[in-house]
Amino acid sequence: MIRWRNPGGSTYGETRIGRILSAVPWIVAGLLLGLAVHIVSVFALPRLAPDDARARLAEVTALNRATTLAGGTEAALPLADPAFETAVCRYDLTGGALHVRAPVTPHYTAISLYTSTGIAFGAINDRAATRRTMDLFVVTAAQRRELATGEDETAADNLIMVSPTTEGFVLIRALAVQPSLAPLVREQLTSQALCEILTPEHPPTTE
Amino acid sequence: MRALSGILLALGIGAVTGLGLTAASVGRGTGAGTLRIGPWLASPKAGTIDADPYARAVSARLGTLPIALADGLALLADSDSQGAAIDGRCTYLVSGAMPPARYWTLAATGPDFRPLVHESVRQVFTSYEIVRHGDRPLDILLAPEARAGNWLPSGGAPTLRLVLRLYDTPIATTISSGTVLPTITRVSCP
Repeated sequence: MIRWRNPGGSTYGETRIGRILSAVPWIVAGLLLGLAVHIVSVFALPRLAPDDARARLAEVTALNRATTLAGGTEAALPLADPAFETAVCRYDLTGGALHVRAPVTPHYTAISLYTSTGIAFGAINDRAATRRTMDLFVVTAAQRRELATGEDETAADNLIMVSPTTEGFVLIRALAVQPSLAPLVREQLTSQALCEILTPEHPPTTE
Repeated sequence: MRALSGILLALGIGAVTGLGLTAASVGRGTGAGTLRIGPWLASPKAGTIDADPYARAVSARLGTLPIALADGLALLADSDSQGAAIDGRCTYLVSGAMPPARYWTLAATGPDFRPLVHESVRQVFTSYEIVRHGDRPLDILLAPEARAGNWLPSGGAPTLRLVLRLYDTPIATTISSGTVLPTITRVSCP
């Protein structure tokens, strides 16, 4: 360890300069540490935030089941567009692929897919619909490979999206172009939006 | 003894600057990858799997789910076209050309993205509801009290944020600082 001076052997001014100089490396180390703390905390926030979308939606939705959010969508999802009615389904693909069905509403409907930390990984809107409903299958990368090698070639005309995570959300959002249409659109979502896990015993529901 | 106080000093500076930087960057609601076009801010990457760590942290902190880019694009404005913060007690005119989109909505929200007025009052304008005057460009008045024409209530909130959402729009992938967006002009202030 380096001693700046012999104790008791110098004037007061030298002591002070010595102290300040000896603190400089610690201050620089502190600033570098601060940078590291900043980077780590930004990356950690999506996992640590107590009130994120996953937590908010876990309170009001059931797993692998479509739930239409009540008029007060704002409470559950603050940035949600007030002109939209929303159905949510929280999924877990451990048991099998997820089948999502959304009605085509009078104006605009979209199905959007999110990972459990709220990263959007895909969406389709009613332009892609060929019938009065939109059907979409969400699978894991492993389930996708099985599909590709399987014999079920009818899967070819279905939309298949690969989820980067086993758990996530599906939002089915429908636009009510004027407030008076909102109850109608919500009713259509409640009666026709569907989320189900497919197993050999449970094939996709048909109309 | 000197080493111990040095370590404590370094830890203290590290914690304060690190967490301070995080709070400041996440609190502002903008991060890397944000485009500024006039008064509007857009983060098109936020609605994709390529969302940057700041965009991810912001949505986790606010508890929001960003609009998926294949669905649409959200543009935010905290200030008017002159650069002054939007004050809900004043009257503003939003006018000009809307980018091509199948539908758009314009809403006024608080800084935390919650609506400013009760559900029974208009919270949002959709492209379907807007009244157009012949060939004149679009005009929407943001004001605390009722106005003729396209009136978007602001509830008189001192700080507010305009959110323009474009759905099924080609500009989602092509947006740049040259994209033409409506202007926000202060008309009057009490």
